[in-house]
Amino acid sequence: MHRRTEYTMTLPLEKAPLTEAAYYILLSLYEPMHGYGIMQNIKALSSDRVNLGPGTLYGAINTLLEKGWIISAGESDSRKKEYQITESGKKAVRYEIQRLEELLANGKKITGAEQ
Amino acid sequence: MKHTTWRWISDYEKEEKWLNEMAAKGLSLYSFFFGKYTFEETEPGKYIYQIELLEHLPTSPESVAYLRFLEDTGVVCVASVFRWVYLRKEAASGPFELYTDIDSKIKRLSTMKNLWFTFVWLEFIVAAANLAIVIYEWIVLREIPWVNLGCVIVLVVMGLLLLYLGLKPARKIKSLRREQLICE
Repeated sequence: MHRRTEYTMTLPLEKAPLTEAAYYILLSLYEPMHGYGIMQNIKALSSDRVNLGPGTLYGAINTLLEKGWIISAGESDSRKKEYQITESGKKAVRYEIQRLEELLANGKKITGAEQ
Repeated sequence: MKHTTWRWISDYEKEEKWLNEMAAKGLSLYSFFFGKYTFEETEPGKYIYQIELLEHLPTSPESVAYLRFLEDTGVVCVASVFRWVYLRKEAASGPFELYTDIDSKIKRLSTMKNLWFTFVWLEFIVAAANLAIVIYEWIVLREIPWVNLGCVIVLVVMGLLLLYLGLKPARKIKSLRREQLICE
């Protein structure tokens, strides 16, 4: 854990690999959305594969807010807080897509998996 | 109809399992206060329960915000004692798992480990102080202060129980960390 933290700290913020949860949360927030909406959206996007726990989601949202990758976009009604991605959040997503493309291309090349 | 049961369960995992077994039978926890469990009759298996240790007291702004967030996802807090909360969700809306990745699971287990170990230290410090009194009185006065000796024994026994409770999450954290080296 300790080593892992040091490793991420040495990388520029936008260039660290994202967790699956963070990646899907950021993608969801290209549209403003509240917590439950994010959970549902991720479930739908991943065809039911990723079922994010509310505790995990809450922690991730707070970390993303602290990093400035998302902002809370006012409250649509008094109860449900909505969130939205920021420019630096989008930058992190774009970097992640590049990284995933590299992973995918290398994986396919070496295993000979079909396109 | 309400049903009340008195029970003392120190291991939250066993408690959670028991509550879910009760809910499966149609008795859903409704309120809890230091060993007193009150159940309401519902359809069997209507709710799934989870017990969570908050990082702050339930009345603090941090916890209020968190519990409100949970409520928006269909998770309701039915009771709380100190920092422990009893959460339930309707089973029809899918599985109920608060934490779904290794990072957040470790964080939750660390909160528990820290709570138990803090108490372990306190118990052993007070036990050591009492033991010092026992030894001092025995050497100087040739008398055994039975009250202090009793305290030492009780505190050590309780300390060992808390140590057992704290070692469970500690062991799980260790195995999750190993897993974390290769997956998320």
